[in-house]
Amino acid sequence: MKKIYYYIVSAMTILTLAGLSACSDAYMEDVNTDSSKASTIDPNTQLTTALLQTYGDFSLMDTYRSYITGFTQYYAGGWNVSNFAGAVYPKDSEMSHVWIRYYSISIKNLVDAIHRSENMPNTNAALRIHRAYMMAVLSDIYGDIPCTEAGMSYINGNANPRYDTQEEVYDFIFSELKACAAQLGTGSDRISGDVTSLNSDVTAWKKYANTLRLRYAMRISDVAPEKARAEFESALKAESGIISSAEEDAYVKHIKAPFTLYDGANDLDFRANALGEIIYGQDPESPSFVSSTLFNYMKMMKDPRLYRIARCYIHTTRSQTDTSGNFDVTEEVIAWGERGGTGIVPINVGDTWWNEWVNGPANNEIPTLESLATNYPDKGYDRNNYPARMLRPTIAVAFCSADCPGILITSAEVEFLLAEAASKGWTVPGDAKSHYEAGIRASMQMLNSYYNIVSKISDAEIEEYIAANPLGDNAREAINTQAWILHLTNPSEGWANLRRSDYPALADRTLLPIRGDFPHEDPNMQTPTRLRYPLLEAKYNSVNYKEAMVRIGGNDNWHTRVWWDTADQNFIDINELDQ
Amino acid sequence: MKQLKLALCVLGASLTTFQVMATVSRGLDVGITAEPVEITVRGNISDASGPLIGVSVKVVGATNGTITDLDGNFTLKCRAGDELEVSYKGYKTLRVKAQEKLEIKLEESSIALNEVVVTALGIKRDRSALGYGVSEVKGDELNKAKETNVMNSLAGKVAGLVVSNTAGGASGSTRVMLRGTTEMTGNNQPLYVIDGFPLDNTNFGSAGEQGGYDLGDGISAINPDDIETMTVLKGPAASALYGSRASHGVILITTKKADKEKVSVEYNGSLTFDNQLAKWDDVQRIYGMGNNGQYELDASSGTNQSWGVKADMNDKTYYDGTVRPFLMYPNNTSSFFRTGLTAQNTAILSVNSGKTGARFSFTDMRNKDILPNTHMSRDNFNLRVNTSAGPVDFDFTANYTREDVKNRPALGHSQSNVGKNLMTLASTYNQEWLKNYQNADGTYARWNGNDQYNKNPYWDLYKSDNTTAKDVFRFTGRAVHNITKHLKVQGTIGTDINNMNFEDFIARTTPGVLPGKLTNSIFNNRTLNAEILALYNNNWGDFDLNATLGGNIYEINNKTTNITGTDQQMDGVVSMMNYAEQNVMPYTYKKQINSLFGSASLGYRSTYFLEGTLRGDRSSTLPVANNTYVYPSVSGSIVFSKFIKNQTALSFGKVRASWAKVGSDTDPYQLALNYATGKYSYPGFTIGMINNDMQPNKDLKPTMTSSYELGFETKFFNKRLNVDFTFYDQISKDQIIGLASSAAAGYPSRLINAGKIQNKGIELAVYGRVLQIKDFAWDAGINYSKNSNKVLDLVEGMDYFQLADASWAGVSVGAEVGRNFGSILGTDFKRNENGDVLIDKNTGLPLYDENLKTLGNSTWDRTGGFNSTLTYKNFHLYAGFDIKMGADLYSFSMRSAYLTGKSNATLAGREEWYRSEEARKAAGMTETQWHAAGKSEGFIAEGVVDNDDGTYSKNTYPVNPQNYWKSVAEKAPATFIYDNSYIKCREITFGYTFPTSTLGKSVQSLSVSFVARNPFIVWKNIPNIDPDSNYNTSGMGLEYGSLPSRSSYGFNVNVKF
Repeated sequence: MKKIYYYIVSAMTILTLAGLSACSDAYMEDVNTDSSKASTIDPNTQLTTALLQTYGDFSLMDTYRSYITGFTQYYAGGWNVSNFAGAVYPKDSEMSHVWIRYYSISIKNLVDAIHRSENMPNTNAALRIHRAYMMAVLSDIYGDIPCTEAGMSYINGNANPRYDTQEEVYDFIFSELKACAAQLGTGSDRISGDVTSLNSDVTAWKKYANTLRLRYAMRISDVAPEKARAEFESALKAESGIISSAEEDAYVKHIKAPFTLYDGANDLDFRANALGEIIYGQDPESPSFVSSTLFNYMKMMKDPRLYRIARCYIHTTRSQTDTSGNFDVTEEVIAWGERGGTGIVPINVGDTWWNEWVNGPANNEIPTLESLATNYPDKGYDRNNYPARMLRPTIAVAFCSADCPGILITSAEVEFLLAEAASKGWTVPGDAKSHYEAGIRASMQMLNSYYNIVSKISDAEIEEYIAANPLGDNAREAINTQAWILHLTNPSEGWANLRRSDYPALADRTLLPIRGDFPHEDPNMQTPTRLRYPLLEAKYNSVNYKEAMVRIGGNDNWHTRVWWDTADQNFIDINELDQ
Repeated sequence: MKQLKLALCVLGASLTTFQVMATVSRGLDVGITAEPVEITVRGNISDASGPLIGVSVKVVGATNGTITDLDGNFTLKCRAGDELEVSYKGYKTLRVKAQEKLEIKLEESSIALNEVVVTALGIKRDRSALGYGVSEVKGDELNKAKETNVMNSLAGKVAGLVVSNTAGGASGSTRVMLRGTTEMTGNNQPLYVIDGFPLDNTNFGSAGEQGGYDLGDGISAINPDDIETMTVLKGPAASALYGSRASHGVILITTKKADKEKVSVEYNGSLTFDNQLAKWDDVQRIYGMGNNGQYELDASSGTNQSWGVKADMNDKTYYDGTVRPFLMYPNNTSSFFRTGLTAQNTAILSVNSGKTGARFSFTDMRNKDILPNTHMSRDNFNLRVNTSAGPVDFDFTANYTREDVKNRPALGHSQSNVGKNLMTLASTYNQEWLKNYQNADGTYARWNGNDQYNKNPYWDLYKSDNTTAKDVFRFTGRAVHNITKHLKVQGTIGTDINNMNFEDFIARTTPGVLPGKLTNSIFNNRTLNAEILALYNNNWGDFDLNATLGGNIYEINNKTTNITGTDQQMDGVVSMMNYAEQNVMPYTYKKQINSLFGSASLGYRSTYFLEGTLRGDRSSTLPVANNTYVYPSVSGSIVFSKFIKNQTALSFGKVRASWAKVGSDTDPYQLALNYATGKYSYPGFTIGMINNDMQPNKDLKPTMTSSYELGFETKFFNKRLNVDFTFYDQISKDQIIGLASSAAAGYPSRLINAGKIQNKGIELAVYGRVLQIKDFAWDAGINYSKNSNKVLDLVEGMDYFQLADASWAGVSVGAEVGRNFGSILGTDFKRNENGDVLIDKNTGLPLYDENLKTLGNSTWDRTGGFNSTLTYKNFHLYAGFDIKMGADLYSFSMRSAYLTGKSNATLAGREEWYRSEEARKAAGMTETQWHAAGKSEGFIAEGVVDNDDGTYSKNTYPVNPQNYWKSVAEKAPATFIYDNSYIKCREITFGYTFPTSTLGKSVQSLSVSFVARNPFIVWKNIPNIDPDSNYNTSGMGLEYGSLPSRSSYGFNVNVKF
């Protein structure tokens, strides 16, 4: 009995002590600390996340697929691109992704990491450079945007960031890029989170920052020509120089991770290039078809890239990384066309592959189809819509790989920027013609080295093309037509440069039919020049939203040109291209 | 504040000490009694006016008893020391020690005085002493027509209590709301307290817009057979003593103790057949699959469109090359479902020997849902032992529940939502054909071009599947030390251990998930509750005093691990090892609240009562500077019937008033940023990010809700008619809200103290015996409540924030300043001043207004119920109805019905359009030319055309109805907002209780009943679906592809030995 009593007393003492400590402030704080998470993290890891999200976020790619790749007339004919861009149908849930996802993931993390990396000058500069890059993408798409006050809500309590004018955004970008280039190399820290081709190299980052200034200077060349020229020329003279060869190209390195589509986006899985994923088609019924505009331009100019970019497939399985379910019948379709069949029939902007219906050929016209139908009668390769879809040019699977690079800026683009600068009489080394030609070479070589195209483009093909398509009298048109084709794998830059340069002339949507099976509420069928802000911005950041609204004429009109876009796009009747 | 903190600390320490003492005191209860002597009791029973005839006298704990004769005399044989129970209708029941001579005076029960209800902290109180409203539901009302989740049985039974369950069916969770939403972004669920122990009612997972599964809740583990009573404490005054967790009201469940009999065995069994309640019946039966009046033979054949040719029996080649007659399969959607079956068997063993009683119950529930290849089983073991040792009483409970579920239905926008996939299937495509869901090699059998949005539902149920296994343990112990007649101290400790494993397998080749996927979620939840409480009561002259002082420690410690495998390697092996890529995500949820509380209630002449409570909480989820908060309540009542001499008309009357404040905290880890690494690894790099989706707040303060309540309770004509009325007004301000923000601020939402929400309303219950003629009685009750749930304020510069959305449909549900909580926002047609829809004169299609408008409200503002019991001799018939009014629902299902041409209303203009098109093509004209020639026919949208001169003319432009409905579906969500009011019959039971005389010696009671749950919907305004449909328990106002709700019919047998 005494023993028991002893136990009780000691147990009581222990428990009393435990009980007292169980409610100290420190204890309560400890309870409220999530043991499965960290209270701090290396800012470099956030750089990795932001870099990967740039191209790796499947959900924001909806905006790309539905609008941006449609407005640039790269693609046409898939359901999404026809329903939204094709029908000029604005839908909040489709066009708000880049805004919502960039701000709430990358910008949030970049801003946080920038604030926590003051003693890591190199990392800090890389973080700021990428913030500038993303701000440019956002502003080019939406116009005036929260920039200098964005993502600060936790840091300074400002939950209602002001919308900077686009001019202010660009000022911010220029000053950041300049400051970062100067800051790089002032510390010994390693940019370990650099998941780009710059490979944590401080000099490469300097070059990259300088090179981005060229792009953004050119962007404002119509609206602020003096400033543009000054920025451009100063960037060229900056320490460490600019990207001048393919080895120095800046791109995000993605890996061959499985396509996880929306699930992946929900899980913040940004390892694969989601742009590749989405144009490949998460919907097997509606892959990304190359639009007649791009197809016919390339055809007209005898572009050796034509059948490296546009291919014909019998594709029954899409939406997985394994592309073996795609049977390439390009040559057979062309041959059938030469025998009197319809051959390849590209799709006009605004149409889907089933509008202007094209009947598929008899099985025996296409040997691959014949053998598939014979060997796998259950699979229905010759039934349903496969033979009809096979005649429509689709983006080659080479561009849909999970590990396609996420292009930031390349030497090819630099050549085109230099060419245009030279043509304007700005002080640049070399002349417009040589830069233009170098740009074409670099563009074609880029396909050879970055994408697993069906066959490499030979030097002879390149030179033949250059000879057939000289710079000519309208340098702006020639250069930017090339830039347009180059930016196929960087659609946001493609769209911005199109709107800035107004070249090449795209198919005039207003002359093309309105399809009844797609909703079209916008009476103005002309291709929009910006995307609208998320609908709820009017509710959640109302004062600043209203202020921005006043600046763009009172309502969130997507036909309003952004600040740097001073003139309308050139348009032509699609039939002029189709010869 | 410092002192309070210290007090809370000391309390914590003493509590732990007490637990030890309580445990040590166990096992002292050993007693041996000598063999008792048999005696004969002769007695007389009378009241103030003379002898009473027919009074029942029974020996407690035995079966022998008798009744008094004409002179009030009785004789009864029993043992010395036995206790006799004397009961008579209309009088207080007495217990007396058996003596050879007994003179007993019975006191009339002035009804109200001895109506004892269980109140906060499990304290039994005289109802008339309460200054707030309390509603009680007896266990008997719940265990005949049983629900798989007992809370569903409360629908329509209690004024101001709104029950809704999801389309998740038997395995789903139930949402219970008391007096509306008080926290804009909280869960707003009441606290469940079982015999004084708060229950862990965690909802493990719920569906959202993107879909998902309803993984059930904690309350579903409670077996209705174990419930003695359920007490609903609606207002904060009633629940002030439970603190933070009780800011949305409390539901107290008192479970049964051992019977008074020495040994008794009870069996309760029921078997019900479950069928579809709301069916897809607004379906046109003329046109089959296809588009634009054409049959299509392509990859999808338009299987999920009903805009094709007429179903004319002519043979058509189907997508698979088979030629079949093209005909309608009536009830195609409904035929997919089977008759479900629910069997519940309960055995109860109760043993009582003097001071010690034990009750053990075992329930086995099996359910086959109306969805094919689904199954659910639940086994519940419950042991309750009470004993006493000297002045100390003990009460222990051990409960174990095992639940297994196969194939919980996927909900909402989930690509596996069977309801969604069936709702657009054309009636010419027989769902039976889909039973061939796989090819010979086990791959997905293509039937509509691998359309991932319309997957084969059989594949989702048979090839892919999900399973859940849940183990719930609840242990509680209580010791009550009766120190003096006036003072007792009780200590309680309880723990709830909830382990669940959910596995979701998506087979390879599933459209949209071709490589296959396996998700395994492991939940390990624990809560601990320890409490010490001193109770004091005494009376001096006309004064009564009841006082309590207590302390409580509450801890939650939850761990969740999600493991996902993608890219299945070998077919047929469903194991995480068999996936090329796996990732693990751990989550924790930990919090602690320490509390001190006290109350004092003073009564004067059993007529005037005044009560006050005070509670202080210290929560780990709040910043140290603000983590201690104190809140009071005051209530009072006057029994005014005491002033009335003649009580025949008004037998009892009381007015009551109360005022209370309740503070509440929030979820853990929301005060500072925390960081996580990405779910997936990228070789050579770390993907790191801020883990908070919601912006944390280091200066958070507790939410305070204050309310007052006024009411009266009256009983007329000797309890024949009862009227309870309550008015309440409740304001929650400086709420802890996850307020939506502009994404540009960095976080889609931020946690702040803001906003003000008011709930104001009335509750009325009228019940009683309507008719009594000899052996026949009719009891009826109605209850009604009206609640206005206004959002008074959000934050400077913001008048709306979104809580849930169906972004694809362009609608959202949220809080809008100046309106009732749960506004549904979206776009509508463009209209002129008269409200006529404007039509585009160039296309014949409507014009749309891009601005967001409030289209409706998703919260019911008037709810109520009606129930009626007819008793004739041993027969009884009960019927209960549930009424809900004044809410709206955006139905994505109905939108689909229009979009795909399935709804009857889409027939208008079809015949004309197809005929016109045929003629046009024959004439070789374009649509524009044909229209200009005035020859086109078709659907003419209701609306007007703007003549651009201030006048309007009626629209006459014929269009393709398919284009019209597509356009409307996309851009005028207002069209698919339905009034969500309904009247449902919730329950019908028809039973017979066998008279004791017909039962043998060994059988104590036997009753059989025919039971029906949700047998029919009396009235609703929404076609095809059940008005109770929603995404899940929180996605109010939005519905997508809801499965049919279930109605069940069956039998119940209850026998007691």
